[in-house]
Amino acid sequence: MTGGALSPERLGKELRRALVIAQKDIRIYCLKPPVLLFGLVFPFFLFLSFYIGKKGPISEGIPGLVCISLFFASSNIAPAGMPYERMAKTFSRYLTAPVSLGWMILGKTLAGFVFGV
Amino acid sequence: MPGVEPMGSHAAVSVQGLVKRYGAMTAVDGISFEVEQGELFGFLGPNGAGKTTTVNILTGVSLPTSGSASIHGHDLAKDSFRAREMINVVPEVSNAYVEYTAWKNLMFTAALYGVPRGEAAHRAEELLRTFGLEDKRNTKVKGFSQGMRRKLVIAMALVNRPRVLFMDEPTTGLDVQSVITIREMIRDLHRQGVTIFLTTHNLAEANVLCERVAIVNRGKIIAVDTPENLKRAARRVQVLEVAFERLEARDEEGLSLIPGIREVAGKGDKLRLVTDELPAAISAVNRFAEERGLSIIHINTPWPSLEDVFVELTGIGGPAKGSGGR
Repeated sequence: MTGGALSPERLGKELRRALVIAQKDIRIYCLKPPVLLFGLVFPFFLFLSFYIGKKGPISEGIPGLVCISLFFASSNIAPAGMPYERMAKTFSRYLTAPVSLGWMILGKTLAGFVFGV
Repeated sequence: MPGVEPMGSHAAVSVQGLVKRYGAMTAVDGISFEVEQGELFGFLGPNGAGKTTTVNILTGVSLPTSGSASIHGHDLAKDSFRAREMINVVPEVSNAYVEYTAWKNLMFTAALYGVPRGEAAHRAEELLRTFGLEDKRNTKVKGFSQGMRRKLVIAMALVNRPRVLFMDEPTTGLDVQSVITIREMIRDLHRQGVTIFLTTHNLAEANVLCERVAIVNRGKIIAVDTPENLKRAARRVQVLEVAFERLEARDEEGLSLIPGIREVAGKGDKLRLVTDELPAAISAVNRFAEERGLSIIHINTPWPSLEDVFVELTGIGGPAKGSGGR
């Protein structure tokens, strides 16, 4: 639902609200167990399972570990946050707030992006 | 920000021929009503009547199949963004962010509604004070009691100074003290000129709070009026309340056999007799008591409650039981 014409004023408001959602998601969801598990613990064990038995200095594997951790962690904030919010019934806040669905999803995606960067 | 635009003479909420269908099922079937600015309006109906569907359309969550709904003249199908800037919602579930403190919840909601930071901080301070949550300002919501969460969620709904506040069962699951406090808060908001759209199953609450109520059943509005007018119209449901010093089951059965008495139901330590002809029923009950040697310790002809009206209009089965809010 777009809810009307997208004027420059409206565009500014939507963008600011998307950023507010992103900021909140970073604060609340980046330390949630699913994000930590799939973003940090899972990549670490993945790294170990592939690295053990290989020759060469461990420092060569570190950039790969960092990349894979960031990839999994940042891509997990929105997928972890959305079901969590639906469960806690906080998701309905977005549906009645003056922010369109697309911008709300953008905000949630931004949270993962910023966390990854 | 809500309130910047002149509202003109538009009704706060206007609904015209609203229809919502889900496949072959019609959830809302051509309803029309208006809520005036500053009115405290109750929206009542049994489960599955179409209340939630209507409120979902009025709060911009879903679109109608046909018909229109607007908030202060802003059509929810064409300009829901503007309409949603003017409202806020107190849902049935207290859905504050438990990881956030009371202060952060208020500031987040303010930001989501575009309230400038300075104004939001001022408003948040004011609301924490009003709702007696000042000392919980920096406490995470996960440590709050049900009553405190409810107060916070109401405060969050007021942070953008909404023109129309939708409240869904605001006092459900709360202790008596919290219910009294929240009802008083609702009255205060009403005195301040906030339009309140109250959805509730609690007829006693609607009776003591609302200026007008709409009763909805099977997707249609079957009555819209003040609680008192509805009760006056339902005066044809004549009720006799009687208590005997001692009553056995066969006596109760005997009462139900008295001509003109349509229904006998227990109501606490009293019996509630529904009749078409009250004077004749009183005489008959007196005669019945004399014949069986029963002594009447209480007899009353109560005005129909909103619950009686509701039961009669919606046709939901069963006798109306103990309605506190006549």
